[in-house]
Amino acid sequence: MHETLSEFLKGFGEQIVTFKGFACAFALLFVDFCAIAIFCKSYSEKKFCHKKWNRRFEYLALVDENRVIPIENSEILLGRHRSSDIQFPDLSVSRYHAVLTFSDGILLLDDLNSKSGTYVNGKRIKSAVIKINDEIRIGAMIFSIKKIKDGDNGKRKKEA
Amino acid sequence: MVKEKKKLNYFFIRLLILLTHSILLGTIYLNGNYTDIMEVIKLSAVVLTSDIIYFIIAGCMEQDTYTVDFLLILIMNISMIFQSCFGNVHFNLKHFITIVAGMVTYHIGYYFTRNSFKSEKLKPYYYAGTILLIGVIVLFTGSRSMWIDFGAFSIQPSEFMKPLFILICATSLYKQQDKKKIWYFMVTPNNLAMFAMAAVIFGLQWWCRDLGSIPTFAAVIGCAIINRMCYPRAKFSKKKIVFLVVMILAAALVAIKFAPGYVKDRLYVDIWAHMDGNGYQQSRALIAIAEGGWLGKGPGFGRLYKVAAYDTDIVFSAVSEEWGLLAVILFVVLILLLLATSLINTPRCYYHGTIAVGVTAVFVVQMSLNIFGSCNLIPFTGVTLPFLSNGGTSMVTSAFLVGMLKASQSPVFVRNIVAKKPDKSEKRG
Repeated sequence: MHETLSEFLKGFGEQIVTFKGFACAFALLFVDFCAIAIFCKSYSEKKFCHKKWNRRFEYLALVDENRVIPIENSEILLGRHRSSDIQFPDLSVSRYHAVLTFSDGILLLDDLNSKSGTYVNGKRIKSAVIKINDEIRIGAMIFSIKKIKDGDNGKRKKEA
Repeated sequence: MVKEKKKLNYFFIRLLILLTHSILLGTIYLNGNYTDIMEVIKLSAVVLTSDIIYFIIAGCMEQDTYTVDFLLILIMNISMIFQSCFGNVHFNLKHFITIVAGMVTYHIGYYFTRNSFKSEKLKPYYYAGTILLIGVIVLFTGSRSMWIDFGAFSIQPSEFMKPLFILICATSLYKQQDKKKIWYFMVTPNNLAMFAMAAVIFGLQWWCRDLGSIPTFAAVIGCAIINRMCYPRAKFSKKKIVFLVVMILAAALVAIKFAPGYVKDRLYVDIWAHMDGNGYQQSRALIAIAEGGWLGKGPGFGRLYKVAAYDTDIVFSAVSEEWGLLAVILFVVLILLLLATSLINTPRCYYHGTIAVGVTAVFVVQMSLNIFGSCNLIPFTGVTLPFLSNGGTSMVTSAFLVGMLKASQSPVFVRNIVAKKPDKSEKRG
């Protein structure tokens, strides 16, 4: 291992001391630098996209008795199963109960053939467009979609 | 009031890309093997002008992220520089044309896949397109070939099946909860159709002896299966997973058992004992890597260009000889960074997630087959190294795939849903 490393350094050292080697190493270093700069920029893009996405979603969140969960994906699965995007730990809720999709500024709720059904403002639905403050019931769980401020993201409501 | 930024500033990135290409071109000017300086000037003018033109075009486009665009133009023009140096520095017009075609298909790939809702509606067409390509291969390429010649150039239709197959995998992810009972089994029709298409593709690849592409398609379907395991609505049971793994292992064993003679030879060949036979390309490729060392002999000073497929199948070694092992490893790292951008700016729906994983699988498997095949770590296959290898079909397909990858970072969610107006009776109520 030690010999391999020393051979590597020796070979590299022999090549880099020549003009050709130095020029090539400099060019490669610059490619490296450029790649790192672009990669770092993608982190700025991530932050930028996050803000833009929130604007696009108008800072919407699913609000139930205890939680405020910001909607940050185009497709959100609601159910009892732990792999659901938003989990409702209640036996009246099916494992994969309903799916909430957001497109073109409109929220759509689709029932996934659940046993207890999905209700919007008291009416059982198969698929329905959701408006802000509509009361949604899946099983025994009741929640609504509300506008929130940016600062409230992910925070739990204090229990009364 | 503080105004919110509409776009990020990319001036520094643009400048860096121009400087990087300029420094690489400067290295050719100082170290390169050329007979006419005009060739270097022509190459430099084309590379730098295409950079600037692309920056202007990209600036006019409305999208959330641009890093994939910039990484792609960086990679494409580095590839242009590398390809123009084999044997002697010259402007490689053919490669430039393929790069322009690639950049066009990159944008087509993006616009085609950025809206998951629209793309899902096109699902029957993806199946139809794949079946059409299979028909073309069966009718026009013959049982032991994969190329169709059109005079001066030729195309490999099986390459175009890669993006179509990824789209089939992505669009079949929806409606996983819809199950039907066939005999005694509850199956998801979408999954059944996907597996059937995969089986047909594998059979076809075997029939036309395009065995190098089988691992790529296998990786895509493997990732699609893993995605289904992660996708909540799929409810993939442990039994099904075990059954699939056993089936895949059995298929692999049968494939090795009944593999054609030349494939078995390649599995066990000693390249140094058969330097003028089965080990011809690999032994020359390894010698070239060793001769190039870490920093290369210099642009245009390589000797590997005398060996067949120097600019496609063993391009890794050809670049390594002239520019050094570090340069070609850096090129591979650039492609990996391109793929890694979707880990930073993660996809926002399962459709785009499946596409990102499928595209990554295609690139990683292709690069592994090409690089490790050149280095004699695995049997040698005729698979290209994305973006670096010469060849229009490979370039166009790879660029289309990157367009699909960008779609996962700059998606559009428009479904033309119209909110129903409440009925009069509801209003009264």
